[in-house]
Amino acid sequence: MSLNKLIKQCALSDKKAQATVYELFGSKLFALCLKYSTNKQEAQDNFQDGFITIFNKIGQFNFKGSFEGWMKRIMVNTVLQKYRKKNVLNIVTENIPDEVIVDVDEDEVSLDMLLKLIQELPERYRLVFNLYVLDGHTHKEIASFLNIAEGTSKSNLSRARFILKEKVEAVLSDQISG
Amino acid sequence: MRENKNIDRLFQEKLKDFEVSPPIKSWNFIEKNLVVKPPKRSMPLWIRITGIAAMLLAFISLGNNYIAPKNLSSIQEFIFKHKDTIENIVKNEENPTKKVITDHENTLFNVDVKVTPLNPHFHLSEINLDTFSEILTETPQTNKPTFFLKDAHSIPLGTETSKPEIPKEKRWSIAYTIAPIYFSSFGSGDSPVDAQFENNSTSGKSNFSHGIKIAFKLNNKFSVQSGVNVVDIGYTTNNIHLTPGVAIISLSDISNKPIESLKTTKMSLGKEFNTSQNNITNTTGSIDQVFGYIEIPLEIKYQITDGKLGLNIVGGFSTLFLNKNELVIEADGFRTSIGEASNLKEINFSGNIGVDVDYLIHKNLYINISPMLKVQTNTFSKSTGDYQPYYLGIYTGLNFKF
Repeated sequence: MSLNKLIKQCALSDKKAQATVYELFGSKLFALCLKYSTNKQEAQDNFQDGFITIFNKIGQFNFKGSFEGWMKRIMVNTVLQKYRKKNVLNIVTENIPDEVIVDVDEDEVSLDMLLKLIQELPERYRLVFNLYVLDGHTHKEIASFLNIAEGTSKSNLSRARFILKEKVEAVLSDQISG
Repeated sequence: MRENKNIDRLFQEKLKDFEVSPPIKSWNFIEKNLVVKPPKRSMPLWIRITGIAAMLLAFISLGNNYIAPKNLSSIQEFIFKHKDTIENIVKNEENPTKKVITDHENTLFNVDVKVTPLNPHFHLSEINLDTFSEILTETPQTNKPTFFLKDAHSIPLGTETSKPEIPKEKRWSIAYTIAPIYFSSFGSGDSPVDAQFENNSTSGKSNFSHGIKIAFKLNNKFSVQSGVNVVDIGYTTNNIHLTPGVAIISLSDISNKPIESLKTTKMSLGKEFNTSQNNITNTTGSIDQVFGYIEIPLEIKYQITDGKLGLNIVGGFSTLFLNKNELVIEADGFRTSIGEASNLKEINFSGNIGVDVDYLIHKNLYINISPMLKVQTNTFSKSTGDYQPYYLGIYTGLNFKF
């Protein structure tokens, strides 16, 4: 069955088609949620809520862009909506250099470790870092998603990079000394 | 090997396309919380329209049945008129239960609801208002007011459980109806006689219908009626030019079988004739198409108001069987048949709608006047214009109930 047919079947609430879509994209979307959330439990909640929204709105998909991209947007939106509900305080804009370099041996850093470091970032830093670095959004887009100024987005990103650099280096030095 | 690495790159390379299987219970949760959409069933339009109409009718009939029963309002009126007298009587009574009635008529009814009727078969319609008046005009000190109040208490308002015995109603009625009819058409008014008269104006002729109508009352509100009517209708196609000639032009929708062949004059017909270029006299006339039907209607009548003068809405359809079909030319004082129309269908139908006002003149005898609009369908098997004939009739009837 083609993907388009599968999507149409999902729109008709076909259970089998829904299960297939979940099989195909579940892992990617769950990974996305892990990056955007503070821990596994929160990621799971976001993932479930996002997937329910995907199936409820699948009839609105217009077959023009990528289906995976459409699902990812819904997932990220689910997370952002929760963030907006929490109404996190704005953080004062700071001027921090654009590029952050870290001295690292790639074999020493595991995926789990990097994921954990992202999850530990303060909420807004985590969102901005994900949106900009991992999902390729511009500061302008991020500013509108999060209802903040573009400058705030930039400074948040720099702060996030800086925190991550310090943490990576700290972990690595722990590993060496340990 | 250690190297200086852009922090963005480090995270992108490791995290951009990684996948993690979601927990197994997630799917169960999602599945449970999905909104199951019922399959769309497209309901035919006519079912929806009929449904709405039925609901409206139900509302109207419920409203009429439950709002202000007549007997109740007449008693209220009576009490209102004699309010002072009632108050006097009650004031002079010492029995505390009767004192509740002192205020006004509404209190009286409220009290009545709570009191068990002394006579459960007593019905509102049986209250004799005259007796009440008599009692009320007498001196309040006598025992009679007590009697009045007892009876008043026994009015089974609100808590009534027993239904009054209704005399068996006569459900059937038969009528002779007669109606002047005006025949015309919707749309462009083109003549359906023949293609060459497509743009000629047409006009309806006043005609006539009469017949027998039988009706059966289904319930308080609805009746079904049918019968047989003889309908004669026709219309005129104007501005026909005719000249004496040697041959009959064949018209596609008219068969060359003159009904009265002896009277047939050979002539040519045309919608326009340029007289300036020849000397042959031409006459302007018209073609009358006359046709008649045996009509069998089937209609539903809905009663809006009853009483001596009743108002009803009537709707239904008729089956019409062609029994008369003739085309006649009329010009300068002569009339002649030119045959019959071959494009008139033997059977056609009409949708009927109208109102019906009836007036009871005697116990079982009433007259009714009913203006009806009847729109015909497939009158013509083929016609040149967009010709949708209809006729208006004012049906007057003398009805007998049995």
